[in-house]
Amino acid sequence: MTIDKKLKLNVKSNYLIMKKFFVIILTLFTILLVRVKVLAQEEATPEGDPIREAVQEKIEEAQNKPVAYLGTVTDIVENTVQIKSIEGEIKQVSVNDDTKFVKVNSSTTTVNYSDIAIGDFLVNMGYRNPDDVLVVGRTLVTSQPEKPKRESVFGKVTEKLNTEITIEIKNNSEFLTISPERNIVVTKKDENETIRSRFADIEEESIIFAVGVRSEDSFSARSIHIVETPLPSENPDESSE
Amino acid sequence: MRKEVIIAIVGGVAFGVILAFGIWRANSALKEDATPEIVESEAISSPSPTPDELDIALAKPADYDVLTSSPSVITGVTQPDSWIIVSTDVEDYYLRSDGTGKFEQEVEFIGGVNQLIITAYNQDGKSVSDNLLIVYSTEF
Repeated sequence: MTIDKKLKLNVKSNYLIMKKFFVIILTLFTILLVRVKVLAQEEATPEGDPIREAVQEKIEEAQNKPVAYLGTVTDIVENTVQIKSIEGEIKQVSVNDDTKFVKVNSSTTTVNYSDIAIGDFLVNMGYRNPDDVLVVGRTLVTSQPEKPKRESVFGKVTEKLNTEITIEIKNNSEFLTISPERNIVVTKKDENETIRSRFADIEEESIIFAVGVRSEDSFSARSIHIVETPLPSENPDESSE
Repeated sequence: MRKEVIIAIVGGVAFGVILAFGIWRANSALKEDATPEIVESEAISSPSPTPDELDIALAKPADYDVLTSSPSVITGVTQPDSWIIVSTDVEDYYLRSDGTGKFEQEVEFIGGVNQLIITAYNQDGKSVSDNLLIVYSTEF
């Protein structure tokens, strides 16, 4: 074998070694890249899933929960009714052949979609679609509900008469005269149970809650709850002395 | 060993180190981004007023919900051991929140629109109210 041939053989074998080496390196990189991608996906799943699931759950819950759109009709176009809500917001409701319309006043009567007119107050019940349009199943044509006037007060009874009591309101020291409505409900706590009581049983120094309607300087109560009654004096003789 | 082989090994190792560093940085950045999202979602899902502030957070039902059965339970959270008054159009319910501030009350509804006022009172007599409009219909 000549030197020239030996050199050629040597170069060829080196070339083959290098080729093998690069193939091995490339294979290793490919394996590494695939592994990294899989790891990244595996790591991303447990962090993303609960949030995604919770959001998905909320969306499904919102879409599957019946809600009401209340408001006055401002426009009617084919199967879509535009209403102005109590808060002044413009909303749209979509009716179909299955939608039932009921007029509620002193009596309840079934009406048709064609009977709905601009200015009517509607209570639309249905399911919100993704565009926030309510797909209505049932509509009540009624009058706009008034904002409730009732309120609650909390205080100590300072004076008691047959038909009214006066309380000192906690937190602002204002005195308020409370008179009972005809069907007033008076309750109190007896151990862990709420039991019925009577207006006549309310004592001075009692702590009470009352719910009713306030006029200028009096309060007409429809319910009173006695929270605390004054402790009976232990020795009446001493107090009388 | 030939010079080319040594260069290839050094180059491969350097490339591997750069790649590993890149992956480590990307993972760290992803974790940092994910953390505030989780905290935020937790904050949204549990609206619990702190004991110092008097507030009401109603859990269910929500405003403008349509209910098809009555009685139905109203649940919410406020300051611990507060007095709660749930006032419907026809009846008033007096109850107390528990040690964690949670409260629940079974409430009777009338057909149609129900306007509820839920008021919480703390021991000092301070109060806060929330209004709730519910539509009750058995026909829906």
